[in-house]
Order: sequence, then structure tokens, then C-alpha cells
Amino acid sequence: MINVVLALSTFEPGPEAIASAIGFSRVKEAKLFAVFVLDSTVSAAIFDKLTDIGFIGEKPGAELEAAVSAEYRRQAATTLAEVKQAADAQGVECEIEMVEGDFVDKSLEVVARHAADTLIIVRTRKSFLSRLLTGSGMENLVRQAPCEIKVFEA
Amino acid sequence: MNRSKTARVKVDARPLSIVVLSRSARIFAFVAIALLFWAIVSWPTPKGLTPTGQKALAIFVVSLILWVSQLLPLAITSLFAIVALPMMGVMDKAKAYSLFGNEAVFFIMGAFILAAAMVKSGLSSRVALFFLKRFGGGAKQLILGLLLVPAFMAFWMPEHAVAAMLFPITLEIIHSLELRPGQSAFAKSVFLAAAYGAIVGGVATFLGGARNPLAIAILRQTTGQSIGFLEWMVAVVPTVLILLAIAYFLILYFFKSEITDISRASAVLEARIKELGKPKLEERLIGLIMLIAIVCWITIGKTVGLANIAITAVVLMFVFKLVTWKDIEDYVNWGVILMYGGAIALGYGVASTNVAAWVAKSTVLSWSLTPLMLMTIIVALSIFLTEGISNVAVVAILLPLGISAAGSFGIDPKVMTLAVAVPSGLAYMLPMGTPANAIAFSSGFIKVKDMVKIGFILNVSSIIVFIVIAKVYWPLLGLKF
Repeated sequence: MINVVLALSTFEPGPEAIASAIGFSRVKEAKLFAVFVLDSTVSAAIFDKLTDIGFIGEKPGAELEAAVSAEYRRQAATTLAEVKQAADAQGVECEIEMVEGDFVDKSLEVVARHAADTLIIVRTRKSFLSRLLTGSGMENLVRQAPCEIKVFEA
Repeated sequence: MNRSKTARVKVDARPLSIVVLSRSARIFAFVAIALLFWAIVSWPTPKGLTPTGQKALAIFVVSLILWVSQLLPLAITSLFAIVALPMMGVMDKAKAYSLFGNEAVFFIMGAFILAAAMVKSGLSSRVALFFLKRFGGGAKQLILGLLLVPAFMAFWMPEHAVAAMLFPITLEIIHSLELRPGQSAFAKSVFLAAAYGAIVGGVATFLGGARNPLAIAILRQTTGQSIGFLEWMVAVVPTVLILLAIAYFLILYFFKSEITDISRASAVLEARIKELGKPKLEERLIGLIMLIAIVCWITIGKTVGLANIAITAVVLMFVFKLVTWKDIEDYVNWGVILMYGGAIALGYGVASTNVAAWVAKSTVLSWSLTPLMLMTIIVALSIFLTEGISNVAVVAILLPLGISAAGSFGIDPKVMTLAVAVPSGLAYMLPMGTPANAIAFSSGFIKVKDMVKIGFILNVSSIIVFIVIAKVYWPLLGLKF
């Protein structure tokens, strides 16, 4: 049986990618592994700025970060539940998983663990210059993934 | 084993030259800044500038670059300024360090501690919920409440503290209505209303944003003039009310609500109020002390001193054991003291060595502008600069130059102070423009393009409203340009 991994993250949940991943898995009669990566780098960057620019104290900063983290978990859980429900409705075997960490590392880890044949991801559009100067996690993921990759531009 | 180790290796697939360049960029940047500093100091002294002024200019330029680029934390750049000024002979070291003891710094410290006490005791949440539940009649009313309540609260405590305090409440509202990120326009309007309310309200008094007392400190250090607590409010509140109205209609226009029934949100607010129970004695006393402090700032602030009132209120909180030192340490970021002390010293340094006048003469004064054009340029610069850099940095950079230019155009320095300080608090466009925006963005419900779209219109509206108010209303208060 073919294994397909759908990797989602907080700022790039991509409903189109979800629908396509389920459709692709149904056509290929594949098993779908939907993983939601809670990428803390984005929120950490925001809270660094809050401390530096907003001079927010340690406790309100920590409370705010906890509230945001809880919100990201809730959003991830809801999204994964919807993926599962939609996959079940279309008769696609599906496993869901929530992990925390760097999006590229965690996606590769899940791909390796399930010996995936296809990885489906969503990428936010960035300018060429921006990608060249700052690098792109997605570019690295595309280069490093040991399987076929389908990328959806958000 | 080997596999898991390999998985942790990050491969940067960009061309080697780009990788080396990007990783050495920080070092190159500091070398370039040091060379620029040396170049400015070593150039033949320009006409109209003294050698001391030339050194002050070099420190000003380096501080400006560091504040804008944020290569160093803002507070550390301020420390650089306060050390560089006496080391380069621009200012006596006793004078430079004494500016850390400026009244504005102690007022800001007192205001932050009072806000910390209100947040810690739960008084701020109670007040927010008390007023918010009065806006539970419908979706539009709730948005109005989410705009007005933080605006009103940011009159009396720092806007970022208001935004942080309100965030969990807005999240609960969103959850109760089962709104989804990327799908709900109403959710976007909820988070944007709370952020914009805090931002706009934060310019109304000295308590909403620490840049306001900083601006007064620079005004006082450079001209000897000042603006009182009530005088500031009377001048700025009409602008605040108009901007809140514009923000409300823009939010409703751009994010048309997909829901009408918000009864579940109202139930959540009711439940949270019940959860809080009756106000504790501690909350009542903190509220009373805060109320007395506000009345004193308004009525006798000019004679007694704003900082004296703030610090007395703080002492009273400790006398009645309403807060502990640990609470204050947890809730106040002491970097703020370094930031403001350094900014005041730099402002004083560039004004006392005539650098501000020289820069003004070399730029705006040579452009044959009218006072109205100068004001519009300053207001627009403050608003758009603050989208990218800290509002404190905007005040520290622009105000000494603005006050100097104002003298040549016959503009009241108080008007120029308001023209820099108020717009520099109005960042609507970018998540990193101000903490309130960053908090709203961190919800995951708002995209950058949402903020840019509505934020740009609000920026332009703010410039127009500010200039019209300054031209039409301020002369009635004796503030002319």
C-alpha cells in the first residue's frame, strides 16, 4: 500500500491541500498520515519582539504565550479532526498526529517513520529575493525529502 | 541511531556565497556602522556645526541605524548612546547619567508598576468585562465594544498591557462562536478591533504609551516648555474619537460579519464575570488609588509633578500590601528604564550641540515649505516610520529635529511635540509595528494582507484627521502653527 503524508502547520493549514491530499489518497488507494506541526518559531519570534519593543514583563509575556500555544493546539486538533472526518467519509484510511518543533525536521521525521511515498505540503508565496536571502524551510524540505513531493501554493 | 542523527542535520541548499554572506551579515553590518561613525567624526567639520556637534551627529546616526535595524535590542542601543555621549566629549558624564533620573523615566516606571498591580489583581479584566458585556446586543455592537473598551482602558494603562489582558477574552469569544481561522471575517474583526482600540486609545494620555512622557521630557530638555496631563488629553481626545469611528466603519466594511447571533459570546462574558465573583478588597483599593492618582495628574500634575504622583501611588500600594515586589518584578520589563533614559540623553545631546538645528537647516529648511507642509511631512513620517521601528525610537529620532525645525517655521514646539508623539503611536499596518498588532496576528486568524489593507487606509485617515484637528481645533486651545 502507498503511504501519503500531509504536513500542515499553524500559519499554513491549507484547506485546498487537505482536499487534494484526501482525493489523491483515494485515487491511489493510499493510506494518509496527516501531521500537524506546531511550529513554535513563529510565535517565539513574535514574543521576542513583544519583549524588545513592547517591554512586556516576564509573567504577562509567559501568560500570553501560553494562551497562544493553547490556541494553536486547539486549531491543530480541530483541523486534524476535520481531515480524519473527511478522509473517513471518502473511505480513505487515515491516521492523524500532532507534533511540536521545526516544520522541516518534523515533516522529514514523519516521512521516514511511515516510509512515505508522497509528501504533500503547503507553501506561502515568497519573493525570489526573500527566499534567496532568508532561505526557505520549504525549499530545504523539497530538497531533502526522500520521496515525491506535492507543493500547494497558499 | 545514525538515521536520527542525520535527520537533525539541516542542509542549507542556497549557493555557498549567499550562505557565507547571510551568516556574516551581522559582522559586516557592525563593521560598516563603525566605519560610518569614524567617517562622520573624521570629515572636515561642516559649516554651521561645531566639532562637538559633529561627534553628537555621529552618535545620533549610529543610534538611528541601530534602532531601525534592531541589530541590538532597543535598550542596549540606548545604553550605547548614554555611554558614547560623555566618552566623545559631547556631554559631561555626570549630566549624561543624571538623565536616567529624569522625571519622565520615573513617571513611566510608576505607570508601569500601577498597570502591573491592576493586571495582577484582576481589576483590569473585571473592568474590561464589565464594559464589554454592555455591548452584547449583536455582532456590530460587540465589535464596537471591542474597539471602545480597550481604547478607554488604554487611556489609563499601557496599550500593550491592555492588548495582552484582552487577548484571552477575545479568544473565548471566538471559541464560543466556533469561528475558524481563514474562514471567519467576524473573527478577524474581533481581533483587529481589540488591537486598534488599544492603539488609538494609547495616544490619548501619558499612561497609554510611554513615548508620550518621553516626548514631553525631550520638549522640556530642549525648550524648557511642557504640556500638562489635562492639556494633552483635551488636545488629543477628539482625534482619538474620530479615529475610533473611522476604524469601526472600516472594520465593518472590510470584514462583513457572517454571524448575527452572538448570544453564546455574551454568555461567555457573563460566565467570566460570575467566575470573578465580587470585587476583592485588594481590587477596590487598587482601583481607588488609581482613581486618586488620575485625578491628581489631571488637577495638580503640573505643580506637584507627574512622577511624584505616580511614585506616591506606588508606595501606597506597598503600604497597604496590595502588591509584592515579586509581582512587580514579574510584570514590569526593566529594559524600559534603560530605553527611555538613553533616548532622553540622546535628544538632549543633539539639541544642546546644535545638531538638530543643523540637520533641520540642511533638510526641511532648504525645501521652501510652508508650516502646513512641514507638519504634514512630520506627521506622515512619524506614522509610516512607526510601522517599521519602535515608536519610542521614532520620537527619539524625529522630535529633536522637529522641534528645531519648528522654531524656524514659527510653529509652537508643543504642536511639534504632539505632531511626532501622537502619530508615532498609530501603527496599524504591520504585525510588528506595535505589540497590540503582534498579539492580534499571533491568534492565527489574521493574515498580514488583512492588516496592510485596512491599516494603510487608517494610516492615511490618521494623517488627514490629525492635520485637520491641529489646524481647526488646536488654535482654540492656544496651540498654533
